[in-house]
Amino acid sequence: MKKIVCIALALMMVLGLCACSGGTTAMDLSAANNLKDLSGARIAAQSGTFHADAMSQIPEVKSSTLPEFADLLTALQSGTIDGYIAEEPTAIEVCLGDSSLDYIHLVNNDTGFTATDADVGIAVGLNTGNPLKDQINTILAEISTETRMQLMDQMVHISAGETVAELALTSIAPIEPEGTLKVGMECAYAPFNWTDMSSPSLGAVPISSQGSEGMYANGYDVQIAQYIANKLNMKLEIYAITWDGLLPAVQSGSVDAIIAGMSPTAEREEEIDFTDVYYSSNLVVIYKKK
Amino acid sequence: MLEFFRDVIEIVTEHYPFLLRGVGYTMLIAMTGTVAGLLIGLATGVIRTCPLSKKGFVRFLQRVFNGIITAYVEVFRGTPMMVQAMVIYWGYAFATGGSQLPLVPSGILIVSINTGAYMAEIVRGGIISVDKGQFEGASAVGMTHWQTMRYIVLPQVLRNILPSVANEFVINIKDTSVLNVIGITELYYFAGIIKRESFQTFQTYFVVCIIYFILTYSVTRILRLIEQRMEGHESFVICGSQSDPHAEIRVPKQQEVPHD
Repeated sequence: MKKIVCIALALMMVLGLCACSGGTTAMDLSAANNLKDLSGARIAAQSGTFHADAMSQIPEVKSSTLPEFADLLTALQSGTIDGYIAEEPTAIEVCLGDSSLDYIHLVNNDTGFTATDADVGIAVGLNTGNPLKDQINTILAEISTETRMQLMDQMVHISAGETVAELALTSIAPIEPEGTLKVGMECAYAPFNWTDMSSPSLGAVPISSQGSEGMYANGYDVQIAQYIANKLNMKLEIYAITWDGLLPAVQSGSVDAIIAGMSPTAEREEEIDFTDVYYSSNLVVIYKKK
Repeated sequence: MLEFFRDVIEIVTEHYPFLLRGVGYTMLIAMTGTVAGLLIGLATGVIRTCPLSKKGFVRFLQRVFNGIITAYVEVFRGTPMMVQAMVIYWGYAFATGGSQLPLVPSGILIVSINTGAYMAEIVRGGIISVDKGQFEGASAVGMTHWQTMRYIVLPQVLRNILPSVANEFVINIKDTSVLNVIGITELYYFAGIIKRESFQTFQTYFVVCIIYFILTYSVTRILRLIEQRMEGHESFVICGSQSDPHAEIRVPKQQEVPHD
């Protein structure tokens, strides 16, 4: 009798586990062009980002989060989700690299997500009270909107493996730099910041973390960091730090600044200071073509 | 299917310098961490089994020391290594106002103290398993606690706990993968980078999976060989007997010592 009860209980547990994951069907998102069309879809986003918060704006969404951005693409390709939230430059880059993917061209505060500049813009993060903030703001103001757009477009294409003759944003490296500017970023969020192995692409900077010899960082954030460092008459050092490690790194003073495609959200603003926004983009949803 | 293996081979041929570097750091951290952990375990084992002194002050010190060791074992055995890595690495950075611990040594440190906590228990178990009569015999011939440990107990303990130590080593090879949270460039870290560059998640982790298995399997084989070496020769020789001082009696292993 006991045995039968045990077996029955075990079976029920297995069935329960199956019920947790089952019961969802794939949705075709190719016809969608606003948030309402995404109703009921299985959407994912990177945890700890505004994308994850914005997911709840989709009606009846079956949301899920993953800690690493690159894994969202894996989830999409494996078919466990219908789409995932990304910034438009990332979406363009991802879709250039994989012809089976496309993205829904959502426009913030119009057909897409409701978001403020603090939610979707990206800014340089500094430890509270860092006097560099005003200087960096002055430097960022020198970069025109057109240059920003052009630079991002170039970075998207470099990241997708194409070559560019000359970058839209250039500056002269100081001959005698005064001090170093240590910058932390994931080096894992193309086209904002990514890692080049073996051969550096145009404008790439070597990563200074121990054990990262022969690896280079490049991307929109790297170019902005290089520009800021040059204008500050400082030497640039880039450290590859995981997303969750970025705030402690700048708070403890391990790095001077975060330039990692990070949005100055209200929660983060309580922990560290942010400069003005140096890029702003639409949040879109990447999906798999049928 | 064929395409899959082509992707796999491409990942290996394209990124092998980085994969090898990852293997290097993984093995360096796992090996040093296991050895250091074993030393910590032996030290704590010897201290914890030391009989309490009759002098009041020394006994008090012993109690304090034992308390510290127990706390160390419980804390580091009871918290995940990933969390320890974050706490130690960023804790140090906050405490010193921004100086970073060098990455690889801090990885070794984290693995060492984590393994040490497990080893402390493994060694304690090994010491307990040695027959009580041997302790009594040793103190009967006037050996101190240290001498008993050094010449009688620890050699047996080392042989007895070797399978557990091998186990810890294998676990460490696999568990160094969590150290990527602080950016140590071990094998799993490079898997992440290759995955993001090639967009081939499954293929990349397939390669890394095989590499990890090769590492752990060769380590278990090597340690099994060492274990067999420690078993000793097929037979041993007793020199001299009661009737003939120059006698050499060969005793095959697993046989009773003959009464002469």
